Amino acid sequence: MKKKNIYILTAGIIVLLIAVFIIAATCRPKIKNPHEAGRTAAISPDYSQTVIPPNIAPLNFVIKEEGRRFYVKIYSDQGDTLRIVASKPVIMIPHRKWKKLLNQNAGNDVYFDIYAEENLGRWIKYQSISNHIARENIDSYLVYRLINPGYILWDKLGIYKRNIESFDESPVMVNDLADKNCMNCHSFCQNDPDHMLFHIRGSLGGTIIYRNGQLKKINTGTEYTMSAGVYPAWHPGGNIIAFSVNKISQKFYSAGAESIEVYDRSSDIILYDIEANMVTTSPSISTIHKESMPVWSPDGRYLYFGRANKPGGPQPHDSMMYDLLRIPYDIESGQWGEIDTILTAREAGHSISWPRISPDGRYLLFCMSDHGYFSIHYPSSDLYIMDLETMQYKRLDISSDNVDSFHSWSHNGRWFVFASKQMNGLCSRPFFSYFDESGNAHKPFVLPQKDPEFYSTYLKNYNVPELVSERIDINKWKLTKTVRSRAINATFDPAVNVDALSGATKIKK
Amino acid sequence: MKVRPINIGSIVFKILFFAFAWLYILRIVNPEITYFIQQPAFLLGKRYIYEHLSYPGGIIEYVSAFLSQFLYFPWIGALVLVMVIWFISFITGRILKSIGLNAFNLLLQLFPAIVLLYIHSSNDYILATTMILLSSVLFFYLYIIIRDKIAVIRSAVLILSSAALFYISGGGALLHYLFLCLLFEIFNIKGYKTALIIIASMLFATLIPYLSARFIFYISMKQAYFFLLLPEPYYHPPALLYVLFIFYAVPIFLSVLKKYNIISSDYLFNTGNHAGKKLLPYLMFAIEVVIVSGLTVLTMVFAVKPEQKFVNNIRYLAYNEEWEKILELVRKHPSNDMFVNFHTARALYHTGKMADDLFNYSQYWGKHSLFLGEIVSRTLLMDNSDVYFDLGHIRAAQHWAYEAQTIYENSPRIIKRLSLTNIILGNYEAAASILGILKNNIIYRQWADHYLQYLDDPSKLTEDSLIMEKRNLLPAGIFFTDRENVNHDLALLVKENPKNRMAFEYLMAYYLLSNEVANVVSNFRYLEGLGYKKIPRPYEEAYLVYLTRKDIDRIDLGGYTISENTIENYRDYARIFFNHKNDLRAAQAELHKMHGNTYWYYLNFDSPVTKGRKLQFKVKE
Repeated sequence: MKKKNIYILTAGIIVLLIAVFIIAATCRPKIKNPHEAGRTAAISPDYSQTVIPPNIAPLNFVIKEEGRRFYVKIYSDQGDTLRIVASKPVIMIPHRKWKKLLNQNAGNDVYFDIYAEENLGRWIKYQSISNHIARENIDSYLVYRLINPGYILWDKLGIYKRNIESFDESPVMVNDLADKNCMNCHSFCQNDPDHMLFHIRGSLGGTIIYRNGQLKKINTGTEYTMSAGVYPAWHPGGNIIAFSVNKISQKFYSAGAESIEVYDRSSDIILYDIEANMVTTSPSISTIHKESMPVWSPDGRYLYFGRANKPGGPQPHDSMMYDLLRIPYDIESGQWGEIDTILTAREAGHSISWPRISPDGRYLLFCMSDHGYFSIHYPSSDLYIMDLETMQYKRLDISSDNVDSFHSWSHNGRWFVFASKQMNGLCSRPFFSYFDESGNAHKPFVLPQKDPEFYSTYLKNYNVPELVSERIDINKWKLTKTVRSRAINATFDPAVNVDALSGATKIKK
Repeated sequence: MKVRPINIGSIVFKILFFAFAWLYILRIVNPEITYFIQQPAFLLGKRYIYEHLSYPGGIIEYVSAFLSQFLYFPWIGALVLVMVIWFISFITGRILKSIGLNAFNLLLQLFPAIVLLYIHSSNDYILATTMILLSSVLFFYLYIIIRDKIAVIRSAVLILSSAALFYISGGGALLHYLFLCLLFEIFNIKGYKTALIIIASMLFATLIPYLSARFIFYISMKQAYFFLLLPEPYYHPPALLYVLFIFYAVPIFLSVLKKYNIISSDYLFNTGNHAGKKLLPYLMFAIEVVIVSGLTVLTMVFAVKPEQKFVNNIRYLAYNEEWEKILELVRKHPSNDMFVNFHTARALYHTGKMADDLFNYSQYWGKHSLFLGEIVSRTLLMDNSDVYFDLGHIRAAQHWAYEAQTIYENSPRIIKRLSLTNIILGNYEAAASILGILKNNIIYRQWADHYLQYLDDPSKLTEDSLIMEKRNLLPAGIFFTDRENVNHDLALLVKENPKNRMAFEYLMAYYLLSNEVANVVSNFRYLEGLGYKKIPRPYEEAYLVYLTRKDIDRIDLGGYTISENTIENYRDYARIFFNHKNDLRAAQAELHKMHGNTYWYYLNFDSPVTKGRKLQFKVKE
């Protein structure tokens, strides 16, 4: 036999053996009389007993049970059963099949049947894990900042968009393109990617505003305001943005449950008119007290905000308590109404922060913690919901023992995302919860990753998760040019007779 | 084929050269210190790979990080560096041969090695930039090999190799490669049409970084074109590196001399077949050996910056807790460097000498050298974390480590500190996440496994003496840390745990160095509880100064007395002062000779507070 033929034959045998091995390893095992475990398998992340959107990426998970081989069946009322055989407990669900299964079964439950082979031929079957597939989609994109858990320094950071329907993540902007400046406070008008803003802090400082295809960079700081705009809130009309202006400090604890205290030495609220490039304010929202965290009602008629009253004397930094208020605003006339107190910290027994109103205007989602407002650092921070028709509020049972903070509604009001440190107490992760028509929030689940072990060693924080209905379509080059351009200075409304510094003084004419 | 004696000599010399280079790196440069300073972070696993595949130059960084791991083992680390340098030298030799340059072969081949030895003498210099050079010259060599192919093929290869090189090593490597190719082509033109095709290809290739930054990667133009070759906030390539990049034009120019017979090729390019000049090649070889040897010796003499080396050594010894060695070195080489003073203070405490011998060592920086947190600079972060960790001020140690982690994400030193502080504080889930990173580090995975086993059963942590020691020092009370006025933290630490000896001695040192004698004296109340048999000499000296102040509070010394020796020294100090008619300047020499290690001398002559010396921190970023 010629040498060449021998080589070909050998190669063929090897290929055949490999193929047989792969097929043997992946084809459905014959499981006879599996031993019943009597409980569900522990999986990580915890994708069990949740409500999931029909357009979510595969919920890849790790089986936290012993076994030499694993077999998982995923099925629902309609469609094919997905079968996965794995020699390791890492379960990667095929994307297309998963998507098809969910699309076919919106409104039904989806089940995970997990089997583990203890030793050769002997299998254990765990009770089925079920999740409910909601009928309503969640917004396709999630936008967040990724940042290391330091507080003063930074190196690489950026704002990223993640397609929730897949595992695609790509930058919106990274600070490598901005001379390592910091960037933060990305915000959207009613989940609309065509109305976006974020701040650049540093040598290229300014606020980047993207609206209807146009980019501009604004310096919202004026000689009458204590800072440039900080925490933003788009008016639903898309032309006015409410900002807080703050003098922010931070202190570090020597011990205790909290590691850092971020507080305002003073703060007020301003409005920025994009068309007029003008900052304005009102005596009602710029007082000697600390107004911050503005948010608009979906109809744009009310501005909700938090306020900590100025104390009579020296106040410990960790004792500021924020009330929740609102004030009517007529966007046509620019007239403000009378302030209405929604909930005081005294009544609630906690400090209130980060109000966000559902798109239908019915519910107010907010955080409460022992004190302060920068709740991402407070393990005591929990999520609360208020029915704005009855003004009744309650703590959401989905709140964990650790930080549950910054939240954002989906455009259809059926989902919200929030940042939680419940996985390891250190790093915030985005969790989604289904919010049904009865006003109940269902068990949350963490943003799925292609590698289900991803979160176990990933130290960056998912900061300010915001749901966005569609892909952000900004040309990277144009955005970079805008970021690097000189900021246009905003003017201050000459009609205002009080400046925005707390301790209101009249403008000298 | 007859092997000429020169060839044998050349081989032998090169072997000796690289053997010597290895020894130099091992003994003088010390790869362990390089590893400590740079903290190369190489992790196994897909995520680390994918991160490095996501930007141009990532591959070379990945490979460099992998190789840099071996610096942890001095012998192997030195060998790795030498092998990389040798490989560059070898490729250089191949380039020389390919372009027909035989003269000055030894010198030209070893010149890059000499320069790289010089550059790598600095513990800060990262291997990645050397690897960038290696990749560009290797690609250039491969390009030269195909020089006889037709222009279209050369163009295609040029463009494809440019794209590959850009992705592997970044824009700096690409520009260097194109520069050399351009020179080569210019001096080897085979027709204008050919030249146009080639040059057009090169121009297109120079656009690769621009197009990549514009449409593909999220990198700046600077990063696209000059990856790791221009100063960054955290890294400054040495100027000599650029000389080395330009050096590769020299052989090309020399080959032009040959080509156009500008200088007789018999002298420069013929190594021994010239009738009547049999000795010339040997003479040339001898000259080259002398030049190379001379340059090498000069490199080894001048490359190492003694001051920086000393500081790095001190920091390294402190990291390894070799306190006596630090004190020994500092006694031999007194220094006003802040890092040195900072670690000297730590060494004094850990050897039980801080209370008595503080002023035996330079205190040029006063209180500012006890802690490094007045400015938040990346070069100081972990050293500052170290001293807080020593003190049992774990939250502060952790905070500084987190700040450091934002800059050096996977540094083993930082990850270890974060793991330990989270374990000490009972944050086991956070510790597990952090230890999970270290598990992927080749060198520290066992360390990670050791602590991970504790997290499965935290009750076993009582077996770990370090964890228990630090837990016993944890401040129970909650206060805000103050990095600018560290005395507040120290005072609270002492108040909450009067057995925290380090906090006490650092507090006393702070007050002494700040001229706050009243505060020194008011803290005498802790002496007995901490087991001092007598009042340490500098405290006694402060007490005597205190007594000279007006409106002082009466201090009960308890069972302690001021030693006769100290009182006598004080009298003598005063006598010298009076003898010089109360002129401190005139008295200084004698006072220094007789009492230079006393607190009084510090107060009068060294204290920044006394001298009105405003310390300005200018951080070279």
